[in-house]
Amino acid sequence: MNRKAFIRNSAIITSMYPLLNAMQACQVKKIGSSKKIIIFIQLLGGNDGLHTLIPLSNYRRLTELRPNIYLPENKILPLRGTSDTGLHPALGGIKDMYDNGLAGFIQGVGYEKPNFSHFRSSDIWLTGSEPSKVLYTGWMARYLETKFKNYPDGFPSHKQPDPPAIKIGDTGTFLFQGGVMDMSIVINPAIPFGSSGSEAEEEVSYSFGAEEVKTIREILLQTDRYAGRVKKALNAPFSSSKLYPKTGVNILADQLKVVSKLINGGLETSVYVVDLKGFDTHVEQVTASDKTKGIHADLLGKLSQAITCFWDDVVHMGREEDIAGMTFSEFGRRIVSTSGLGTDHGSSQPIIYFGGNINSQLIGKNPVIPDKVTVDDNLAMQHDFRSVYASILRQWFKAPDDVVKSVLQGDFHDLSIFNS
Amino acid sequence: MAVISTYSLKPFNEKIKDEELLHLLRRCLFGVGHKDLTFYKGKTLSQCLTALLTPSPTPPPAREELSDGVDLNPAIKVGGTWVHEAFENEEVNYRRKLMFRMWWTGLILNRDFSLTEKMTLFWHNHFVTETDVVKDSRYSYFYAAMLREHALGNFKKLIREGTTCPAMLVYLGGNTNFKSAPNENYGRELMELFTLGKGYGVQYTEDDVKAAARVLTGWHDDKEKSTGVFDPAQHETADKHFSSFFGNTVIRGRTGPDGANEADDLMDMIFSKKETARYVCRNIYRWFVYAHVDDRIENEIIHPLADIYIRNNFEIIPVLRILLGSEHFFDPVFRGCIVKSSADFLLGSTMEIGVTVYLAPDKTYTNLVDCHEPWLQYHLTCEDLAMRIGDPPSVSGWPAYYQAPKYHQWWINSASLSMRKKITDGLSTHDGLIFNGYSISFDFLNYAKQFQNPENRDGFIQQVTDLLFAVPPSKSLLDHLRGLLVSGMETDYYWEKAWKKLVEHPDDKETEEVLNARLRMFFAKLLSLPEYHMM
Repeated sequence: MNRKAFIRNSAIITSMYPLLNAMQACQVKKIGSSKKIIIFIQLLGGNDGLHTLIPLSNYRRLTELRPNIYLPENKILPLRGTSDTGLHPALGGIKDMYDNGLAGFIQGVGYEKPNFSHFRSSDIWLTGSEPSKVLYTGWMARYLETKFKNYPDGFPSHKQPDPPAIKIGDTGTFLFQGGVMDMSIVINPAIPFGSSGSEAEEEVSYSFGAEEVKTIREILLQTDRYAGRVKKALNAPFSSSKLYPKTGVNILADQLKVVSKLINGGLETSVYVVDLKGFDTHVEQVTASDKTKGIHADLLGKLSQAITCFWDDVVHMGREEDIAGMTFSEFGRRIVSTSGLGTDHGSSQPIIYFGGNINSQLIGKNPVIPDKVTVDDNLAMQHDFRSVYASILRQWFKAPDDVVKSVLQGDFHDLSIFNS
Repeated sequence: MAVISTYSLKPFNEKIKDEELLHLLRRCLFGVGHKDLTFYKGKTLSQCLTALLTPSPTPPPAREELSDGVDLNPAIKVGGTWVHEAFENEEVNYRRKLMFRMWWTGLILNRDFSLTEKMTLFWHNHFVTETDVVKDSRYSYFYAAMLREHALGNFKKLIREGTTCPAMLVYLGGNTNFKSAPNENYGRELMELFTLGKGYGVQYTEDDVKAAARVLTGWHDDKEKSTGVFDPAQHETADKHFSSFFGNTVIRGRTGPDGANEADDLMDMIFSKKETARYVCRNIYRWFVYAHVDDRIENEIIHPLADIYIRNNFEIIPVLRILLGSEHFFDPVFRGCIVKSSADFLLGSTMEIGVTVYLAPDKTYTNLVDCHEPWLQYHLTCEDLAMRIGDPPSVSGWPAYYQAPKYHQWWINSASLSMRKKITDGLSTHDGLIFNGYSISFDFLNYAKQFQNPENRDGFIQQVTDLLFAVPPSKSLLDHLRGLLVSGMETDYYWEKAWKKLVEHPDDKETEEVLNARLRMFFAKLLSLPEYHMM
């Protein structure tokens, strides 16, 4: 056995990583790339579905079970083609999109044996796991790993010059946690891209270390293999929709504004996550004097406004056919309200989806509210959350069946979300 | 701009603060973990120094570690040592060289609270041989064992012994240094790199190099005994005359076996020069304090240290005790001012946080003591990060310690930073870095548990950053990262609740994983911050 053969034969003697491939200089491609893009809007804290997509057919039951928070019937927004279901008055923008065939709703999405822990339940949603099983990677990362084989080795490449996924906001998301590493880059709209948002230099000015940190930071920036492309995309000329509120007013709108800039700038990233905090409304979900106001109304208002502004950008770019979005939360909320004008952790939830190439409809039925309801009772699930994921993979990304099954670790039927 | 405020070698406060203790330990150990802090906390500075300067016990020799291959020597079984046994062919030697390197890496990964491993590496960088040039695995093993034996000992003894150790005789051509045709290679490096250095008033001549070479004629390595041996027949017996820099010293030619003792005369002459002590002290300073030595440091720190070195006949402990216990060393200007070497980064992060090694299919180890194969993996990864322990890039050692003006910034470039990030990212995933039959991953939950009240999120983050960072990351950055621990929730309530649940149900896997998932994402980000590259 010669030495080379020995090295090959002994799998122990392979180093952790081959040297990184030389970085490839890639030019931003022409505007108008036609790859499919999906934007997930994560509503952090658990969104109250009964207070979002209102089952008018059960309205009287709501007034009984949620006497301190139910919305006045005459304020609930009607939806095209139905008198059974309406929308929270703060969701005017979404209503318009639905009425124009640009949005849809999936009723009762969840999983069996609901878990009421924020952490565990969001992990279930983000990893796409069997509720009883712990997974360590995000379901979307598992899909992206099939598209970006051996990531990060060999990326960015000429064919795939852009990040597999982008998270907008403070921090990363479990959704993009791959087996080897986080597959996303994080862009925080509150910090100029590429800066650390750090005052470290000032804080440690007593040490020679501060200068060294600056040097390392500069090199790290050059090392960030996607920085050039992202920066270029962010700086491409684009006039954002006039509908956007001022920066800082609606944090979700600020995030989606960045997404549209990146798309306009030619980035071929196909998955984005943005998020909105504050849905954990145990108390003061509504104000006592006006139940159409309060924390939840504010949040839904921001959601509706942000999507409306973003969609205006999409139309302006002419990318309606390629772009879709979807909300989700770690769970819905309890049927019975709390005495503090709020709701406790619940189970299934409605999902809002939007896009120019979707089946604009109400998928599923209004949630069934049992005859006898205690404070512990929850809404039954109609659709397994992984059916939503399966639909995205198969209908939107045209993923082959075996890939879908392996990513979701099971066989889940499609829901008719997208036009195929 | 930061400035040095004290050049005093006077003893620093006996009662040292946590951040001062951490500064000391970061420079002296590879990484600082809970265990280290527990051991050292509450000790006075003198007690800390005494513990640091206590040599580690002599480790067992390098062994046959790889069960997948076979050493052809029937005397050698898995777990048995090969260092005294001949090897049959180059393949066996090649395997042994790997096992030698994993042995060394394993010693660092199993370091105790002593400065021994850090100083062993220092001498390796100072008094270089390269395993692949030396070629004989046993020679390299004995060379490393010698460095370790003298790591906190006597430099003059180390150089004397090392001058005629078989590894060095092969590495710098001492074994082809014959009376008829002297090989000057070792004589030159002995003066230029190992003892006197260059510049700073050092003025030995070319003829001095030649004379030194002639003093050492006749030495060669002995394959049978794995030692250096002296052959009087190859020794130049004429007197050797040195320049005025050495006070026109004449080393009298000796005949017969007595010729071997001329090496001692040569050491006496070289070590009589204060430049030798200064050169070593300067290198010690660069290793432990700061790369840039200006005139004032030279005069007020290096020279007095060299005098102490000379007075103590080249025992290193008194020098280290003064330097590492000085007001100058604890000047805040030096806190976090050194870029971590690859070993400090890779092995250090492992020692700090702790790793779990999973053996397929379900066997779990909680540490690296019992599982040897990862030692080799760590060795190879460190090599990928431009630090191949056992094989510095040249006789000068790693450029990080001599190449002005970059010095320690040599460790940092776009390739190495990407690689460092990939490694900490990989170790931060659940599956960890996966190898043949096992994987290695950071054990964040166990690490987190050892902080006080980890359920208090801000207190936890504060303690973590205090322990992990010599240069603290900015508050505003931490404000962004803290959200990772609570999945963007606006309250600490659910974080506290998860910890409480774990206390009540310590074996609840689901709760463990809920916490672990958040800790992994949080720490992956922390460990990729620029500040984490400083020590």
